[in-house]
Amino acid sequence: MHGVKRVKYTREALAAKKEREQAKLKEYQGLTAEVLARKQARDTTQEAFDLTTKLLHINPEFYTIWNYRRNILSDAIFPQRTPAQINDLLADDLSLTTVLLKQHPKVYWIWNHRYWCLRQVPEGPTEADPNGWRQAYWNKELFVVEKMLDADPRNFHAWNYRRYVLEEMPIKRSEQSELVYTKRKIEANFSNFSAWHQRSKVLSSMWATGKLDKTKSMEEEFDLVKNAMYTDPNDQSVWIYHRWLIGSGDNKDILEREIESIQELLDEQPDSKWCMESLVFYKRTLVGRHGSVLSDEASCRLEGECLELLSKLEKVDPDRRQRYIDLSHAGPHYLIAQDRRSPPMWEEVTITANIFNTGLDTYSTTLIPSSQSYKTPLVIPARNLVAKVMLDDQGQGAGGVVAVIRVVQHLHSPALQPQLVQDLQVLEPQAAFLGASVVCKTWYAVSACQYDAKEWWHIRST
Amino acid sequence: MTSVAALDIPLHVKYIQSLGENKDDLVYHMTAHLRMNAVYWGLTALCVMNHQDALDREDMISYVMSCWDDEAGAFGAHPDHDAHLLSTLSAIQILMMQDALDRLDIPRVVKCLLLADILSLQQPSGVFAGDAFGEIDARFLYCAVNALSLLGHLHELDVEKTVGFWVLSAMAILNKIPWINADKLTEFILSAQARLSLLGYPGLEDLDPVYCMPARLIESKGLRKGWKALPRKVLV
Repeated sequence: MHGVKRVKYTREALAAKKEREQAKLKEYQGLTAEVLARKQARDTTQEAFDLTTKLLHINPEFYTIWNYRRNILSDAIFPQRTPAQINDLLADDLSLTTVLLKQHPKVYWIWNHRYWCLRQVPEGPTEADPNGWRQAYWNKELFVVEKMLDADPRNFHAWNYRRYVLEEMPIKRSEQSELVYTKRKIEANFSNFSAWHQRSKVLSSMWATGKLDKTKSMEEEFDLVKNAMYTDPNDQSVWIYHRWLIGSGDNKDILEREIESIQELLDEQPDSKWCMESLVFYKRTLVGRHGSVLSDEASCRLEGECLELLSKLEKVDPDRRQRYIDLSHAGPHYLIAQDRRSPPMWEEVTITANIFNTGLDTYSTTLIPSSQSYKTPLVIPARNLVAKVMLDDQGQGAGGVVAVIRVVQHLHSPALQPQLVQDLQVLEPQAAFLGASVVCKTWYAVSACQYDAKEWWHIRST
Repeated sequence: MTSVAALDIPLHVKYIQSLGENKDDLVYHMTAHLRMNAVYWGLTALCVMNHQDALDREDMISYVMSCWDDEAGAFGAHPDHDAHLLSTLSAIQILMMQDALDRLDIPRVVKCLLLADILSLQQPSGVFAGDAFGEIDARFLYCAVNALSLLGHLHELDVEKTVGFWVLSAMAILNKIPWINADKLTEFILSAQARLSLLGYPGLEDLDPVYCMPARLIESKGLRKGWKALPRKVLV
């Protein structure tokens, strides 16, 4: 639970607690020894099963015992029972986890067992109605998990579980009712990443299948999120959702309108970090996606405004000062080339990259000519060199940047320009980020480009 | 950092030593399923503080080996506990830090643990399951990648499918540790040596943020990535 204070005990209270614990300890150790001995002896009797129940009541985090219990069920008990009996046994086990989750709502092992139980539900009650039992369970599961979310609306275990239940329901619940549900949760408290996330999932699906008119529904979402932004401009979850709505920023009108709207909010809340941060992001997106229809002057003005905002951010959010400095100095400078357009080619190369962990759908931006009098002396020579950054195939932010390329002044040299085009062309979007290492199959091509090698950090020639 | 709040190293060492001595404490026994991880964290902290010998090496190694689950071919968190990816990574890290990987039947580990278990635990979605029952969690990805890398079998992993991340590790790999306000964070986590080490706290050894093991060891195995800790500060 969030916001619950830890209890502090006095010395006397601690001593008394210790006293009480000794008896418990003895019982616990005895029980543990017995259950583990039975497990070793591959004891799958009802008695052994009941002992696991007892032990798990005391310590639901003892994963080995959950495993043992499942083995007894599937190896010894289920094979001797009718589907109806199995169904009843599973009801008991689900009740057990319900009881335990009430005390320990965030213990992974209890949730795991619950998933497992659901997967074991047999077909029935009749051949004509093979999903009857399942549907009954699933309805109950939704009810239970919603109760848990009432108790703690931000328990991500419960949200994950809920998503699983919804996906696996034999008779699907309408997505519309899910929209209502997430809206209710969001309106109760805007600051709920899980609820916003769930909403984005449902909407994506409904837009894709045409169950909702995307344009109209999106406008409603912009209203909802604007309301939330004005209520609490410091809440990050709201801004992340806004970025999801903006997406790649393909719609110039929406992008410009939202920039204006955030600007208005910033005028009211001049120190709002998220307003400024978002403005930088969206203005750079605007230049990146729509630079070709903007005048050079407009593009440069927008980037200039971004730099101003970044320098203000350094002051209002000093904890992340170095990040803002990097953002203003480096300018946008991402990744691996994939695709390019017709001449003048080297000026309009699209660079594509996988960037994870941004929580964003797509991200794009433009590199400003370094000849301008901005604080970006090392940034890109080509006008409108577009960097486009994507998430993984799930649309999830889950990882790290694949690779970062900073194109340096060397590229001003006309002799290197054709080389750049050629190299970008052969690059595959196959650099993958793996924990700590980058596997870049086309390193040779990239290194030929005279990028600033010092900025390449962990990309190694393989 | 203008002035550095003091990290009481002897006290921390004593505390870590005491963790293994509270055997009449209920909590000690109730948390047995975390023991292997606890030993790893304790040892890592000791290494960072330059007190690796504060816990008996032989005792530790025999403890780790007593957690081997021969049926699964991996390590449990405590003797007689089932094998799990979380404890297996910790066990490998401990053995490596104690320079005792030779106690393992390496071919068996490679064959059973890596091929039979970890790789087959990778789900189509690219995430890893932690055990035979298919518990799925982003943490396991890190564990699997780390274990494979330490044992030199990273190439057996399906890279295309693999995504996932932890923040400080990510920052280190991206060379963006300077983005962290080191002074403030230091104040906030004065007891967390691992991060203090990266943030330039004086007198501590570098900790490799990728493997969460002593940097010197990782470097000697040729596994070091391009991260850079902040410059080591001087106590005023």
